[in-house]
Amino acid sequence: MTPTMTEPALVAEVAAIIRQSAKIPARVPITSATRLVEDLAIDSLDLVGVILQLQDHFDVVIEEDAVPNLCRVADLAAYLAARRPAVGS
Amino acid sequence: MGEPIFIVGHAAVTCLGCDMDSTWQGLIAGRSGVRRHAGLGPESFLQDLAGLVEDVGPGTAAEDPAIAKLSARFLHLGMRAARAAWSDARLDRRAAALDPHRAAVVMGSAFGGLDLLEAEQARMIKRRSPAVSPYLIPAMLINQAAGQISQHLGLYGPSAAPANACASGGHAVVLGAMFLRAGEADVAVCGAAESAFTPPVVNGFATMKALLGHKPGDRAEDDPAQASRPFSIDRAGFVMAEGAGALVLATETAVRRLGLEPQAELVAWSTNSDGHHMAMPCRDRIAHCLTAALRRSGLDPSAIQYYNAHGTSTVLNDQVETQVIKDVFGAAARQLPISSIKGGLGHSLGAASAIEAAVSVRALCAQLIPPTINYQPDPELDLDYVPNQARAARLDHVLTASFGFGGTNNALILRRTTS
Repeated sequence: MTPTMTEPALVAEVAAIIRQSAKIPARVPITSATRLVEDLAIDSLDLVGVILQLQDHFDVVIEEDAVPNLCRVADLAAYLAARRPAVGS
Repeated sequence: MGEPIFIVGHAAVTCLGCDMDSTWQGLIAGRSGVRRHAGLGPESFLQDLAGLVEDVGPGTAAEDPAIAKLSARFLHLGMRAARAAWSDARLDRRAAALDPHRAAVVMGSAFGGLDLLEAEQARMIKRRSPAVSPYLIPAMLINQAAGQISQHLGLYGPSAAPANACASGGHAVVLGAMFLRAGEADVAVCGAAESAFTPPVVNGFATMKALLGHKPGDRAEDDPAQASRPFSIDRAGFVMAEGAGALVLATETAVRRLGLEPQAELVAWSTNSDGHHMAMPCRDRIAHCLTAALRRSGLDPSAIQYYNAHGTSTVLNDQVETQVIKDVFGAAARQLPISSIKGGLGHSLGAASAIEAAVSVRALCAQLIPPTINYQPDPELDLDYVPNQARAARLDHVLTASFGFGGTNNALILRRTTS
């Protein structure tokens, strides 16, 4: 997946949920290329919280096995878009 | 006797204001923070009267980033009170002089993070999924309040979290003093925090008939501010509230070394157990607790110039407490000014006695007794409850007492200090 494969609106929505759930300060930019762990210093507890919030918000089940590959905001957005066609379309 | 222990900082977060000054001003003006709240609607709650704190916690402008991820509300209230007390002691400006390993944190609560537990349980049911927030366990633990205060104020001494129902805050002060007296710490942040507005807790108190219920003709039906009316003839149950209170204690040596300013001296304390009933107070044991504190203080009962009461506004508590005061103070009971600030604040359960300790310190500093508001005389309760109007008085010694379900009592005796 590349950042260009997802809708900007979906990326923005995912970014907003990440920011709210992990309490990322407004001064820290979150883009489609942002890496959750390396760029946002999200720890394992934060990551579980983000995943749960995304599941609730988009009504999509994020498989546990998939989580290690969802490193960037774009990966999450693409995963959500693929699992639920209505998302981001 | 060990070296004297002083209170060098005090703070409260209540339904009358999210800081000590606004709480105090509201109390001495005779205001009530009790309201009806649409969020406590009849579809889930048996009582919609409450004393809620505004402008503190997640989603508010004053959100504390240190605990923003932990949505159990008692943590936010406790952190705010602890930070304010620490700042009131000016210890935030003396961090370099303080050995952080000699600073204790004792923060109690009766219910801890039950609000978050219930929110997560509702989420599980709604989603038909066993997934819960990864913050649930850390945030709901009662000792997390002490943990967060320790983490964010950088205090690495002894830590404890008394869960002694409605006596938790007073017990926290006692435990903090005991750490100092035992030589385990030089300063201690002590207090309690509570926010337990979940349907099971509210409805549990309501079905016990501990809360004021709806009754045609009750003066609270037209004016919710009159719902909590300790020692009044028509008292009919307490009003639940949330909040937090905190004191900073310091040994005399620490006061001198750190250049702290004593606000009051913690002269003596006592705790004991009723061993009597799960919820009903025990006159004899409570009297024993108060007598023990007086004996340890070396004071004659007549030296107490203000009794800050537990005064919940339930029929039984206020009756038993009045009897206890007569038992303990004897003839001096007739001259003793007594007041319950729960008329204005409602009953914040575990936090109440910490708030009352902070208010007792302020009363000594201001030489002013906060009134029992909404008071209407009960011929059977015939002492001086400082009705409805604050009273200027010479205050050298104040006693504040609290009692909790499970039969747990405490009494603190404070002395005025002159700087």
